[in-house]
Amino acid sequence: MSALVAERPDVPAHLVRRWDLSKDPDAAICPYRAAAKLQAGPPIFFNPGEEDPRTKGLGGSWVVTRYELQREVLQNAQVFSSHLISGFSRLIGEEWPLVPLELDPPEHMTYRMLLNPLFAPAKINALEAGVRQSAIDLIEKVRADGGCEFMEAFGRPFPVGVFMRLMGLPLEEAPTFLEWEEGLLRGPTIEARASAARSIKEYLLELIAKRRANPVDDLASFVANSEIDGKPIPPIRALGICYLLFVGGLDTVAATLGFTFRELAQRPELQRQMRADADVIPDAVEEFIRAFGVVTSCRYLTRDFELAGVKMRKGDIVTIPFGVASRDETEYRDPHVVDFKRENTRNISFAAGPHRCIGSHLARREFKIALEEWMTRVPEFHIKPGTQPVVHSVGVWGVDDLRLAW
Amino acid sequence: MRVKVNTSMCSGHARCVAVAPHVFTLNDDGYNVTPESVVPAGYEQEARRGAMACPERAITIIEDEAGAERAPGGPLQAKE
Repeated sequence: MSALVAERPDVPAHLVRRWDLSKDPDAAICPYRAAAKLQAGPPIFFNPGEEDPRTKGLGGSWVVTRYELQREVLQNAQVFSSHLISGFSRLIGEEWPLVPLELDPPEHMTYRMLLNPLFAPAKINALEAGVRQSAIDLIEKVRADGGCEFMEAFGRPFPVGVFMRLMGLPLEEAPTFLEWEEGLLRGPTIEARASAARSIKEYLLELIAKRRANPVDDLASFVANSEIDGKPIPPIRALGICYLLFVGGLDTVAATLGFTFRELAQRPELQRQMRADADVIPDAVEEFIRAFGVVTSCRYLTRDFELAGVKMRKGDIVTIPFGVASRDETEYRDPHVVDFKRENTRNISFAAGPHRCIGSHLARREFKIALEEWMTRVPEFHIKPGTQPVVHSVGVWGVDDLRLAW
Repeated sequence: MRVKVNTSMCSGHARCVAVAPHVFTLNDDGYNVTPESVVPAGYEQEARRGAMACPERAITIIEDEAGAERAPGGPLQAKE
């Protein structure tokens, strides 16, 4: 096929397939249906690509397309490591891990146990009032307008507001964080992304230093003053924690909200079900999370390993697009249909295994509150006539523009 | 009916308790710490649904005293 593959004679030709959603016109309409086309092919295939500084060898990665196999990869963190896999610190020529995501066992567990109590299901109740107020404030700004661009009005600012409250940051600074987030994840050039990455790092390091000197009752203070084995955690680990909360909790929630509200606008009967009976909303939340996995996780192999008959080599990268598992027809009946009564809603949209998204319970609560407040405060909405939602499937799959009218 | 949880596989999704609150118990961190136990009468279907909801397939249902085990997540997992 190409020189790249010719240099990997160990990869059987029938497992080589070029996959780039950004070049698939179907993905501009629905990344999920476009990506589901992969399921006609092998459960794991090799996607040749550019050389990657993370790999010792050649570019490209193994792409895992089935729920069950994705689960196996995610559960086996000894073989499939996430150490420094996201590359955010490498953007600025440094090497420090997002914490705990990019730590391997056993250090991973030490930090995970430090943070788990903060994000446990029972702890989320304490955040409920603030999250709800964030939702109400944003909705009330647009409810009299008869419509809005959803991502700008709600999808992006809502999770940022939750993050600011959680960290103990002034809400007035939310626009700066939104700008950094956009620059980091979708900056037009590497330089633009690196500049945003640097700004975030500097801000968070300063915040950690401030909270170490003068602790208050917020998450930043907790992180800054945490101890492990009786010693304060190093600032670089505190940075890794805060950075992960920033990159993990903002764009992902915004993206899932975007796809969810697009679906609701296109299928108003789903709105009617929730408006008629608010008790349906927790099931709706789980079904939307099931149907709209937005993250593509990566791992690299710490040793040669065979999975589902495919021989992978130490150093190889594995790509795990959760949005493909979302629509795995071997796992879900009619996977493309959003159905609040679906019996099998188990999903790996928050990953699986030791690195399961630590913010999953908070995210679910944000979702529940968003749906409750929208259904209570805004009448039935639809896509604004003459407009088309704009979506992307690079990085975290998401929605760029969603014009609603009511 | 009994339930058996592979607690080392539990990664704290807490879906079991969301679906089957009468059958499963979480610790303060949100991880399943249910000991192998008999399901309270009347909650068998809830237990099955709770086991099926586990994304990790960490929960096994033992249907009867003869010990016929239902593999974690199965067979309901195959296609709903």
